[in-house]
Amino acid sequence: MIGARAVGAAAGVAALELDAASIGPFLLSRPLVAGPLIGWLQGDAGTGAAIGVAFEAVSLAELPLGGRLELSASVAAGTAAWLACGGILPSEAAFLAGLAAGFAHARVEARLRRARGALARSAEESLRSGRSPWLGAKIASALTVQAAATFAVALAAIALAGAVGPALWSRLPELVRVGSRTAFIAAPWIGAGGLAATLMRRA
Amino acid sequence: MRGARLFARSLLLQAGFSDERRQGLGFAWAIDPALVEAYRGREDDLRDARLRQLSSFNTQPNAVGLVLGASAELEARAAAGDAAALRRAPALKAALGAALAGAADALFWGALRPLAAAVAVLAAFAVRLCGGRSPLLVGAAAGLAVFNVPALAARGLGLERGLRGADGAAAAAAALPIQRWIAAARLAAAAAIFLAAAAALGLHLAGASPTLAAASFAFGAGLSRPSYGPLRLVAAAGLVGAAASAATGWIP
Repeated sequence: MIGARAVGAAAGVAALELDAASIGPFLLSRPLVAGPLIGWLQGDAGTGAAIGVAFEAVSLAELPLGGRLELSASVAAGTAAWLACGGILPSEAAFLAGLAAGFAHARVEARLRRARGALARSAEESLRSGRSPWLGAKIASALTVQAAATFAVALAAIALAGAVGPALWSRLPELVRVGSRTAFIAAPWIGAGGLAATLMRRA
Repeated sequence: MRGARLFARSLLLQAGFSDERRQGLGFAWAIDPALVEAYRGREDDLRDARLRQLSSFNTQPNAVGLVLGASAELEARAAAGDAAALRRAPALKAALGAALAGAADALFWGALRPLAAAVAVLAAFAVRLCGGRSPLLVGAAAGLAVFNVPALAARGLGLERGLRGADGAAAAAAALPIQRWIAAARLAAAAAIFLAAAAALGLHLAGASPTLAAASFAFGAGLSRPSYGPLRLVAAAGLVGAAASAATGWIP
């Protein structure tokens, strides 16, 4: 059963994610903001910040050039923060669940981008027929669909991970859990080291 | 007031982003108030201008101000009967967008964004070290300021410069020492990352043993090539951790 707070968290993730590629950007969608914010909703901003740092470090190197999008960092961090800070999953398991949610959202986003070409074509048709193109309505429609899609992905990820995650995690071999824990602990440091080296090389 | 409306609308440049038109829909909506003003009472010309501006377009979002302003100024001149401005408008829009995209991507995504992240972490550590309140909030605010102050300034000043005259806009953009800014921001970001890492270790906030933290940092730095990507390296670290645990009973 999904609680009202989980629905609220998914809505929060959807709102923050709009900043990633629809509005601004103001960096409000970054994991360093989304992680602690969603964690705060669960009463544990500190763990949310740790989750946020991990996702920030591994996603900063990915530049959104020309619309390229491999991982939705905001969805990944928000989902993982909710799961970890609520005690639903340990942080390393929540990190993996967040990655899955982030990759899933990126695929949904890719489909939305292919479909949105129809909005501009519709505006052109209206203009050529002598009608108003209703550009503002099309922009609003694009934002609404984007937010709804993100909400659906985040809520589905939270619900699925919450329903099967704890049982699945406890059944995994100890080595898998140790490896996951190592990966989660090392993630911020690997990301930071890689980023620092890349920046110095290019400076 | 026209500039303010264009500025506000430019913040939704990417709202209708598509593979087909990229930011075309967002740009057309952002510039629309300028078109309505320029072609007031001339529905056919307004329609043609709107169709022109619905073409495919892409640039770094924080650099769109100059392109938006220059395009609006050219459309205003075209509406006043300047045929040369009408001919130049599409080519200038595309060329400015592409030219600014490369430098702005390197500056905002490649340098200021990681600098903002590092400053956020450093600020949070500093507040915590001083016993201050809300270190996470202060850190987030500091990081957001590092990115958004130059980003909004670039958008607003670029818009204002473009509205003043499209002809000089490209030259004005070319005269900016953007490459120096990029280099300085990259060095500052690298330094901030090293400082943040040292602070995390010093404050025992590493989330890992100092040995694991330092080894992971060096691992990431040593293998930082685009072909690897940080996530692949993280997965590799997980495998190494599992193997170490199997061999020696080590627990992270």
